[in-house]
Amino acid sequence: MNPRTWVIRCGLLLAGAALLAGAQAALQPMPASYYQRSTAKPAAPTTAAGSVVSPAAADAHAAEVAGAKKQFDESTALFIDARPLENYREGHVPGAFHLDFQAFSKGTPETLGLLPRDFPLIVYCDGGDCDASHKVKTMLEANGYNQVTVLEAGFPGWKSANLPVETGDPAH
Amino acid sequence: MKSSAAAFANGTPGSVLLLLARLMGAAALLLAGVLKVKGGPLPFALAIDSFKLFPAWSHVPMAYFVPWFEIVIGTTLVLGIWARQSALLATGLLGSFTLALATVLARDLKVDCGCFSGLFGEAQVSWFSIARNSTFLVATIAVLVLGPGRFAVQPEKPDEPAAP
Repeated sequence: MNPRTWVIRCGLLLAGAALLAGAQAALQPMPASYYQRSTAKPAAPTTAAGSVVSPAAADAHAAEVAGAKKQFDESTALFIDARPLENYREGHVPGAFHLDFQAFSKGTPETLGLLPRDFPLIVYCDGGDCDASHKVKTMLEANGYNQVTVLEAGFPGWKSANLPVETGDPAH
Repeated sequence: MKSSAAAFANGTPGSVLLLLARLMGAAALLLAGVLKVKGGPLPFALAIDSFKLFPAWSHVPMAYFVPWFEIVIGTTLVLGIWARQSALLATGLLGSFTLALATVLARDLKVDCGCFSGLFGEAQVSWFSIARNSTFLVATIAVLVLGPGRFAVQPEKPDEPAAP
């Protein structure tokens, strides 16, 4: 088989895939929430070694956690844990739903049926570089949830503020 | 060497092994592709973003193209049509994925692979993901080197040269 045959066949296979991809892109455009998501993450207040990098960022995180605590106390938001299930079981915000990004890869998660669309939702993961909460937020917005925020400090920020923690499987 | 490889590939035991290799490689590609198309482009685009490997402008085109690429070459591989070319492209794709997974582990990133939409249960990229991909890679390389075997829609003629 000469090289030209290889090039033509590989080219046709690639072109076929590109054609099908183009058809899907025309029929199923990317949701607006993908383009609207924020890709800039606030700086973590501490390094992995624990030394404070930015006092301003630390203040911002403390204020954020205090705000989330207020919503928790007043029951004016639902919390969503976007971490892996084993992490959720070891400790989570009391009453938090478990909804990780992987659940969306298989289709519409059952948990969405339990979440009201017109109620504030706070999504968290491990803070720092963890972007699972942002991905879940983007997926929720693509599914019509418009009051979703991310707790950037994550579960570590919640726990280090000595706030209530629950363990065990999701109740929902 | 070449004629013994061709004789093995066109003999019954070799053809059975190559059929199994094609089925294994194709099953991985088809499953991955169909799951990604079914889930829509958004989850895969977000998964690509997590790898922090590719420029931002490429995420959306990749999210649309890669699943259909997996389906097309998975289909031609399982049928044994243009098998060596399909195997070459599959090897390139699987090799790239495996390399990307390895860099994620090396950078200690906690990333959802997005490969099979969580079907195998792993929450994040791990050595299991790499070992699994490497197995599929061995299968596609076997087809690339030896051809599709006799049990293919388009088997190779015994005297057909193996490579360019």
